[in-house]
Amino acid sequence: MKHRLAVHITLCTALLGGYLSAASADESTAWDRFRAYKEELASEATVEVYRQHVSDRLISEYMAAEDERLREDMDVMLSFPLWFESTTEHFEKRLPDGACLTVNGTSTYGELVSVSIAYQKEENQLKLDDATITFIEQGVSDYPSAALCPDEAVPAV
Amino acid sequence: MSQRPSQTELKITVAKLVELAYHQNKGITTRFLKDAGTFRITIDSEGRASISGSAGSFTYTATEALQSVGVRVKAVRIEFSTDGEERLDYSGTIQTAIFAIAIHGSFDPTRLILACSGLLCNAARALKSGTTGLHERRLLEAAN
Repeated sequence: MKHRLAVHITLCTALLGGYLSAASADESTAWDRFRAYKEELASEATVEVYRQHVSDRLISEYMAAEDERLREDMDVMLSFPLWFESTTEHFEKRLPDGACLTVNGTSTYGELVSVSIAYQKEENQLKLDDATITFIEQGVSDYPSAALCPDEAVPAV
Repeated sequence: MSQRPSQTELKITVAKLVELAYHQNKGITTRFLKDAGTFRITIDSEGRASISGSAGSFTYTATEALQSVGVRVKAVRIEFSTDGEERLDYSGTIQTAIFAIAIHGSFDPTRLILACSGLLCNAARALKSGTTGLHERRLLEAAN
């Protein structure tokens, strides 16, 4: 009987632990993911870092790059969080299959920059799937004041 | 070698796109810049540019202008709007291998034309031969 109770408690603990860890992974915000990605990129931008933070779709494109120059271009673009010297504000909206995050700040060149990112939920984590990087010319009043998905950040032309 | 685009380089790229259009067809491009209204430049992945507006349309090669972006460009779409006098606003998107870069800004169209009809027309030719230092400074002077 004691043995059965112990097994039951162990099972319940394991199930609860699994639920809690799944819930906490789920609740990781896009902003958390952005900051973690930036931190890891700053340490070293590797394919392994991309795999942790970038969607399968983008990884496939990266791995399928036909020449070195194209891969370099992708490295430059995938490293966009490092373009920020500082961030001043961020806005996030949850979507059924992920989230969109808009981050405003100043670049390492002193430019006003805003990036709007789409995150896709994959393996219970938010993975970066698309982005629009916007250079703001007029002033901080032109920063977006709400979360935008990348296609919403593109000027209507 | 790939490098991340800067706002200044992108602005120079936009000015060069207008300048190359001017070099190709001075009459229509001048009307785009001097007549109040809008016009549009689109570029495909081969560097083929198309400029169009109420004054007409034509195509030209924009490969040289795109070299200052820092990464290869898949497509460009820029809408220009001018009052015909003091202000040429632009807004558009540069599509790179994976992400888009959105740009907004403005130039003084008169200064852009003056630069283009004098120094910049020579510079447009210099651009083809890769001499761009002074030329780029003049383009930036046209920026508000």
